Amino acid sequence: MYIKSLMYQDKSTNWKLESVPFKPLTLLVGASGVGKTQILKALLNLKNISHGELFNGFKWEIEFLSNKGEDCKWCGEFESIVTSGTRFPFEPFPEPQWNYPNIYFENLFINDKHIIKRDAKEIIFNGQKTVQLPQEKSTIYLLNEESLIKDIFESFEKIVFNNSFNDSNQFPVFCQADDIELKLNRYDSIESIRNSKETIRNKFYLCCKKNYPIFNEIENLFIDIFPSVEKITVDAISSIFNSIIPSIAIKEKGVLDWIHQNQISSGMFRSLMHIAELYLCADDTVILIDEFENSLGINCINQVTRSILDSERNLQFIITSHHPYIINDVGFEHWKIVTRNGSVVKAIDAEKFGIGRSKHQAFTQLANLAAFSEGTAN
Amino acid sequence: MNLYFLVEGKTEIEVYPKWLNHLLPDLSRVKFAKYATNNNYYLISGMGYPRLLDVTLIDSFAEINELGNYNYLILVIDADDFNEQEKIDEV
Repeated sequence: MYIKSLMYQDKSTNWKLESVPFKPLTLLVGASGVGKTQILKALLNLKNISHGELFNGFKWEIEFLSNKGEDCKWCGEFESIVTSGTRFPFEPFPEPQWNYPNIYFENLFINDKHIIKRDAKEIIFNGQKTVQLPQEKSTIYLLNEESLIKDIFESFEKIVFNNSFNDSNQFPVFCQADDIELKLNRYDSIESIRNSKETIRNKFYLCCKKNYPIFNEIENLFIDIFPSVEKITVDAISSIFNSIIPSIAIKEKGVLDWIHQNQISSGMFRSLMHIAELYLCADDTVILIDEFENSLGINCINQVTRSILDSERNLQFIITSHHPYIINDVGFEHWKIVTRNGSVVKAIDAEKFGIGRSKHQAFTQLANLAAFSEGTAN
Repeated sequence: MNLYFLVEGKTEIEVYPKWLNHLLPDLSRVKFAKYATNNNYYLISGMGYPRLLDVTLIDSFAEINELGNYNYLILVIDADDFNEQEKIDEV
């Protein structure tokens, strides 16, 4: 999937993002509280809507290239139901709930052809009226077995939000001990691992277990960043519940014992997971990273950023950061300066603020913008 | 006469334009350094980030030398733990 642009609005809170065009790498910069994270969450919510979830008062328009390269536009709107109590913007509608917000309208265009036309009364799919279907679920979800829609449904599966992989104390289960041979045999190529729904840690374990050269490529890049490390391995631990849990360990020069996953520093662990993600995610993945610098040490921040910039894979990155090193390293042509006036959020190209017209470092120019320091722009 | 101000923090960005308005009312501010023609000033800040002297000041030199339209560079920094002469020596 490649996301070309996004517009969203949460009518229940009056939050609105004006249409933002994205690039293969987009770095969202701006003052705290302007809505950078909300942009990532809106994309994630669209993934969830495509998978059948409902969001009260959510209105959207997204343009994208599907996994098969089709030029698509999908827009729609949920009704806004007034709820009691405080709600955060874009929070999924609470369950159980007997009064679901219905979808007012939904349209899907593929290569400019109007494939789905939905209003409060009916759904027209490829020129034909469908049987009555639940009004609170998106048609991407309801019709995902149709060949025309399957590509769209699967495209949204390529959006990943990676803020959970920095925790070295988490040990996701790979499989039950009895199934390990079966599961290992299921993956017979790096492509089958990349395209699987396994977590990045499980994919990394599979590559280690199968001695795929890509494991050494990841290891070598990691050692370039952390020269004190000489080896990485992924062991399978059997838990008391008879399940197999992959656990990463590193061997440092001059240190006798292996350093096990829960003892690895969070900066090292997160760097390793970032690199593994770059090598092991499926083609056409859209990677969303909030506050990229979190837990990355000063010694690895530039190189991990560089590994993203140098990635030759067919991936899209939408990242937020406050860190001067990261912002400077990622050229200003990739920046979107996010500002908010009241409830209206805009993300504007840095060039439009005159960034690049000075000999000063791009971050210095950015820091001097009121749009950046105050978070508002006309 | 054109002046190029490099200041250290965020407060100066607020204070200096107002102060200059009283002190040198004929001087008007330009948004980008290259727009200075006659009786203009340009003001840029390190915004409190480190590396003011070893990066931002050097970038200011490069900009002024390239443009050739400034008569003075005015550097505004705190002496911090140094005395005035020690800070001048450091610069």
